[in-house]
Amino acid sequence: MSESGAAMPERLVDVENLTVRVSGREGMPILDSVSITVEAGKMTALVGESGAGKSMTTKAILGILDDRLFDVSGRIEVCGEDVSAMKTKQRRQYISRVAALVFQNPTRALNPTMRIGPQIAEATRFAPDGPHLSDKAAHDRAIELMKQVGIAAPEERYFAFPHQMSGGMKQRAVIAIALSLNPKVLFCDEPTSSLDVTTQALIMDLLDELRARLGLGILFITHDLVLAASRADTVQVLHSGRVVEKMPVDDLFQRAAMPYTRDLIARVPGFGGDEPRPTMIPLEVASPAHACSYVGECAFRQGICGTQVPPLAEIEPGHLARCWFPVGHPPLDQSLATAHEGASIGR
Amino acid sequence: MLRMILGRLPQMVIVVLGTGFLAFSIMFVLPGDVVRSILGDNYTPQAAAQISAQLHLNQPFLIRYFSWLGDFVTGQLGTSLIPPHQQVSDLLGQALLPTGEMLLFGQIIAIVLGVGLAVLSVASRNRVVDRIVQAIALVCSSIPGFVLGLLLLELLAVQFQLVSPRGWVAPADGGWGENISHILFPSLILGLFTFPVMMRVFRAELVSQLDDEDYVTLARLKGISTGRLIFRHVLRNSSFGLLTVVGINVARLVGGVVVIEAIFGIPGMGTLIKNSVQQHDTPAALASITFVAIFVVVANLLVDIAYAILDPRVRDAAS
Amino acid sequence: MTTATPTNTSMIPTSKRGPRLRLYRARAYRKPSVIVPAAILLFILLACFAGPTLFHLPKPSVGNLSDYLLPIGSPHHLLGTNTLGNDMLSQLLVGGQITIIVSVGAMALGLVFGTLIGMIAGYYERIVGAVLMRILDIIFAFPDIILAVAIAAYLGPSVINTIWAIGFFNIAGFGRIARAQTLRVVRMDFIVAGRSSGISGFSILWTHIWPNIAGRVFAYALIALSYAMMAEASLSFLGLGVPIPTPSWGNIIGSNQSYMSLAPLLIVMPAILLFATIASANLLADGLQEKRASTIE
Repeated sequence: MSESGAAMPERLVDVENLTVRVSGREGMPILDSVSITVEAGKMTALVGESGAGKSMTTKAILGILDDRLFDVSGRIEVCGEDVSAMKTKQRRQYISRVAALVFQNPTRALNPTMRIGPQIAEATRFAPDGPHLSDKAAHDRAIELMKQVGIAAPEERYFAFPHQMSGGMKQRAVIAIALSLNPKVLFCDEPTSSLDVTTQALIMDLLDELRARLGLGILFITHDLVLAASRADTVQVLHSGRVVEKMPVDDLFQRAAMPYTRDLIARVPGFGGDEPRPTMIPLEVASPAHACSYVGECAFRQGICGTQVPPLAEIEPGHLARCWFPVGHPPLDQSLATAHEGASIGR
Repeated sequence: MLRMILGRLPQMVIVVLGTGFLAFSIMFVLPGDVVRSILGDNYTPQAAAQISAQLHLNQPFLIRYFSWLGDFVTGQLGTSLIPPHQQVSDLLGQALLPTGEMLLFGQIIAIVLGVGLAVLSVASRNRVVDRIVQAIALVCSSIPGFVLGLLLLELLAVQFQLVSPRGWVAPADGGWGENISHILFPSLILGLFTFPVMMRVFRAELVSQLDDEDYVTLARLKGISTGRLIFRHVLRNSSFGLLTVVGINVARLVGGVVVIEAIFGIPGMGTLIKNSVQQHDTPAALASITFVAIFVVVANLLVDIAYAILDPRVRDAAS
Repeated sequence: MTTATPTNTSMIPTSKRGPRLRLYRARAYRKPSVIVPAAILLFILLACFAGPTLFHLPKPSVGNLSDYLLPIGSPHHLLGTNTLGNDMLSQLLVGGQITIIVSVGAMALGLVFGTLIGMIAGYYERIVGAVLMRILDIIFAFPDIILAVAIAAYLGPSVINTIWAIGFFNIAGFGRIARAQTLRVVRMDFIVAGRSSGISGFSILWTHIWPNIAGRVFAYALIALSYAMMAEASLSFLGLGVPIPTPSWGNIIGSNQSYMSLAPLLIVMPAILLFATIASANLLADGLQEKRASTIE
């Protein structure tokens, strides 16, 4: 879509028009035509406020949403295969081989009544698509993984219970579990927000190192713009279930075009102030499915913003924005209005 | 672990003593002339005075209580006031086996049914199965134990003669096979009567673990099978609510036992307690009530120990 | 949701969250899992208390022995008669009155005293709390049937005494619930703030803690009601509860126990009523709790 040049890196995650609805409920979907790409050895940051649908996106890609509660549609390609077409069991096994998830809260991600070592070793022993290692071999592999993620004294820690370890150590253990089946892509759902700042930097360094050494692709979910800007290669901004802006990381603080992204940046300490923002009277939109998701609070809104969803349009090479009036750019051609599929009427 | 048990001891002793005191007070205020009922036709004022003195009946309340307590602690449970004046320890010995068997089998049946049906309804992810299981639990929890007992007894024992009829066969008389075949049906009633609470608690816990816990998601992402996920990960973490219910239910079970023993004509603890209180047989009543209290307290301690065994966090906190 | 056409009316100034929320709450009760059991309970209640007068039923225990064991549908005896010639419909409805009065009374006793003790035990955690908790433990470890036996033996079985006997053991259950809930609330910041600013304990208990635990306590009350109903039936069945000739669902079953093979309906009919009432109470408790969960969401 965007990348021009001869050597296109391997695309590990390629999601197009991912839409998630609560089963049997009409109106606004939870995720509306989300498209995401993650490339090998690169980190894509998915940024947004809580409730924007960041975690929902990972869950939908990994196929761990409860299919009794949610309807998922769209093309989800992970490591070259379209998983949305697969049967649940097959999909889960495939995903377990190529992708892994690092959770926000390591305390909740670990089984409190199981020792750390066996939890790390479990997949290598019991996963149907795993190597089915013997007890001894799995133990050795777990120790090796623990060394790899920087857990000190792994032979002792192998027998520790989660509550006997610190938050940072637990997160390292979760990462070790994630690495146990040699995945190609790592989904990190706010992996550092429950940790203190020093530990946060250490965990981020670990992720960086793993990415460089193993060539992992990382989808990094965060609400922290500064963190995203300092570590990622590409940034995607999510608002109310829609991707509203997608850009190379260097554009984030300099050239963000969507008013929502700009407002987010203005709220980061040290970045606000120079640009006075008018206080907007929030609007309620009669038909949110047919409006820009940010129209309620947008300082630049005009009539069309409340009636037509803007398309995610390339405003300069590699930089896409979903806005009729991108800041610093000419307004979009309004004949594009019908290009957006998620807003189709009567679904 | 040992420290936890020792820490619990004072509480346990207080509860047992308190129960004994409550029982003693109840027996004390019960009207009716014990002496007359002991002597029957042989009543003479001299004999009455002698017996009153023997039983410390003319002493004040607290002195009588402490003398009883002293006897109890030293293991002198006394003799029954009702002919044939058996040793209370013998009465207890005879009553403990049937009740113990019933409680053991009943509790096993309840836990197996409760856990099994909960796992079935959750793991099947099938609305119909879930509804059926819930309906069974609702029916069993809404029919009083004695009604269930009466109806099933009539149906299975009298009409279809599928199970042994009422009554109790001591293992010494009819062998263990006969004994167990007679106790199994009342135990089943007890189990049916207790399992719904366990099932509901366990099912709720299972659902909340499976739906809300990240470690479940992580285990799923590892690709391991649903069976392993449930048995290796979720079952243990879901069992704490069940344990609490088992502990709380122990006391309720004793009430159920009294009724079921009455229906099936089983000479157990429930019958002993009921008869001894009704007949003013103070030594037997006090001993059996206190015994039940000890049983309840010990059962609750066992529940706490099980808790510590299953949850390493509790274990670490205790030591 | 309104499906407005995308025109210039599509922007409507700010939301009206208040009324919509209230509407939603009222609607939360209007669902089958609440209405059906509530309706059944109401029907049973009305039938038992208004039925006998409304249909000019004979008194439950003035039957003529010559009318014994009339079948269902007999003239003047819609549900037949029992072995003493008493009208079964009258027995069942009046028996229902007694069973309901006893179980509601016993539940109320437990609710008032148990909740009070539990709240105090939870609020004053140290000595008072420990002492009260041990007392509740003692009540809990005490076989509930004993007091009933003792009361029946001492004061004679009667309706009032049955209420006392069952109510006493409900205290422990309510006490535990109330204590656990109070412990949960007491640690919240607004209680800590109130405590440190010197508001009296009872004022905090009543104005801050009670409203926060009332929901759980009342949810338990429905379950306690079904327990009390079972306890009444069991005691009356054993001859330790409501004494014959006053009928109750429990003693109707108990007194007809020996005619099980001869006239099973005499037992099945009260058993069905007992079951329907207890099951409805249980279902209503479930339905209301479901509602609580969805409101929190």
